[in-house]
Amino acid sequence: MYVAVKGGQKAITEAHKLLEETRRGDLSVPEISLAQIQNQMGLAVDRVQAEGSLYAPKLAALATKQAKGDLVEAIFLLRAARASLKRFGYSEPIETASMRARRRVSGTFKDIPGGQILGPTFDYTHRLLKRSLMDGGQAPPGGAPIPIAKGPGAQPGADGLGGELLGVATILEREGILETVGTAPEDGEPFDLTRQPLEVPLARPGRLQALARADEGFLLALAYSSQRGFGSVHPFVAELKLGPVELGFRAPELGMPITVGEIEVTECQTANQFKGGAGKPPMFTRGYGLTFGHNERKALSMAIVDRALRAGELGEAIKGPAQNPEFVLYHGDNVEASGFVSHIKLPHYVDFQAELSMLRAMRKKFNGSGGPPEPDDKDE
Amino acid sequence: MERQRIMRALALSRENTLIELMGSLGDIPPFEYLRRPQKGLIMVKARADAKNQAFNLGEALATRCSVNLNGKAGHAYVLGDEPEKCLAAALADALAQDERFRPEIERIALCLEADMARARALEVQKTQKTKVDFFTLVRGEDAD
Amino acid sequence: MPTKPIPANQNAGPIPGPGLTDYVGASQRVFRLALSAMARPAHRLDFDFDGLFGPSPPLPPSVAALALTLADHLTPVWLSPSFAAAEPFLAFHASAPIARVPGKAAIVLAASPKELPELLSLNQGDPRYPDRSTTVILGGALEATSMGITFLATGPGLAEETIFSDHGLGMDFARQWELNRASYPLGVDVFLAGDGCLAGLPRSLALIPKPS
Repeated sequence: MYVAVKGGQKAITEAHKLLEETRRGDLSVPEISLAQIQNQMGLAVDRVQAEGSLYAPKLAALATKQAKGDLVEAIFLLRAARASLKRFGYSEPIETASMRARRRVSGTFKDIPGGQILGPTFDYTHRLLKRSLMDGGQAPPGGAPIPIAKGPGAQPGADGLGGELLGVATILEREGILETVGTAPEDGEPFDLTRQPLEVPLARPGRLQALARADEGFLLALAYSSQRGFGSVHPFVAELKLGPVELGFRAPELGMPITVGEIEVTECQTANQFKGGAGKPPMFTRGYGLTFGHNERKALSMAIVDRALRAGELGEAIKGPAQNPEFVLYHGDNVEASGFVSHIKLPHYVDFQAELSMLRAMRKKFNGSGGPPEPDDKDE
Repeated sequence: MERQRIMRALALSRENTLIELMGSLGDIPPFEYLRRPQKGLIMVKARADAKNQAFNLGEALATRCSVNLNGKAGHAYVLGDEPEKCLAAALADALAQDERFRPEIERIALCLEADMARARALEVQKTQKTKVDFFTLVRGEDAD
Repeated sequence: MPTKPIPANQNAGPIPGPGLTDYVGASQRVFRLALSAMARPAHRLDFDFDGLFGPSPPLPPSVAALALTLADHLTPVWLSPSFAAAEPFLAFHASAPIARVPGKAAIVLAASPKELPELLSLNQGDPRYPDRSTTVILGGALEATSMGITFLATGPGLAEETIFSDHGLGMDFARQWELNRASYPLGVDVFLAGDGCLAGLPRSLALIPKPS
């Protein structure tokens, strides 16, 4: 445990001033605006929203600015902001089938209903640094930015990109070779991590909520480990989609669901090899990843880890950390993890003194009586 | 036009556009707040595998507001921290229940829908260009 | 989106009056007051609840202020018969579900000690989560005309035994309270919400009737 130490108030106040100075940096350089961060660092903002577990682009941009680009710190700020707000209620479940997808690809079939739409992706870039993006460089011609998220929309279905695009997963399901996991509807509201403590075993809805807000790097490493054989998952991407979906809410005073806006989400559905077991025939099993904003690596990793965590119910031996719910669910939240790891920076003076005395006593015994005297060798 | 459709158009609108259109209404009756614009959270639910068990994805920031305009209660919930937009939407919802203003509000809703359709058409145009046309992969000498 | 068309001139119910004028500021202050009331039990704290509202709410201001601060969409609220008319107000401002029986409520609003359900019939909490028991907001017990019995109050939060009088609680409450305290850490907590004042009775508090 750490000790509350007095006398540092002045130093702390000065530290805050210095922090603000370094945050702002060189005064001859223009101050960065929230609009710039939102527009030109959108993927950072999206990560902060996904792991901050709060869809609020402007606040996420503010958090990113205040945290000087440290996204885990920004996530912490957003979580704190979220904790101060009143909850109106639960939304209607979003319908990703009606997403106005601006990117939609499948790794399982070449020809899919609506086609493979690459959208704005880094996938095929050559990963060469672009001098044209440097100050004074010639920026390549681009179109007007594609309106995202808050962008309004007409009635769905008109253009083949919105409305009901037949899902690849649905095609596989109709053939009977992709499993169906659980069924809607259920009674009451699903498990809510923000209202009940996390305890394992945890059913899939709770696991998905935990994974959706988990650290991208952690999930990426787990997914990778799983693919490399630590409890293997052999995933195929049935469908990866990015785009806005309408958010419906049933306000009690209205007695009916209404649209309150659009949120952008990234969704990944995987089909995974399964040779049969636990009374189930050989089939493709499912993994599901869903995040706020544009977070493909996270959605993919989440889908792989989701499938790995289903090892128990599918009768698979648990061979790797990605399959271990206690390992994955308890260590995935980077605010929690960062808090506990970072707390050791705080004063542990009394603890350490206790350790020191114990160590000296042990060393005295080890050296035997008559050994060289230890410095400050007296009982505390 | 059903109330849900009007409220949808209001919620999805761009704030500037909505406020401008509401401004074109001229004088509206006085109103009192039942609830001043208030920020809060809506927990977003999704379905696992896009169709199965519901789960909680994360919360979205929203603003809500309710007004009493000539005995009609107008309500609005919009995404984001948008007090002015929310108030405009709540007023529109109340006015839609008043026979004198209903046609105007419906006209506004149609304008907003048209605005949305235009923005979306532009988006679709750009996105469609990134659709893979597999036929172009077949070169002349490889064609059968 | 389900789109069962609803004509634009249909309201969901009677229009409730406005609630707290400054929701954020008021609920912060009221919450802090409630904490103080529980931290220093059986002690009357003065507070201008009236000033938190514009037009008068359909509940006594102290009861309304506490209810709007503590209730939300996950806390079912039970209203005693004299408070029944406040249902639309609570449902609208707090989004609180209305409980039909006190045993299913997270928060009980009782208009007077006469309308207070038997404390043992309320949710007593859970051994792992004793805090999940019902919270009672009791009106009509701190009024100027109250003539209850005198208690000797003692327990956590009180440096020494304190006389607690000027309230409308009688022997029946004393009996129920003793049973409540005996089930510690389970049991319910009670706020006495009066006219411009508040007092807290946490379940850890002993209220010993004092012979006059």
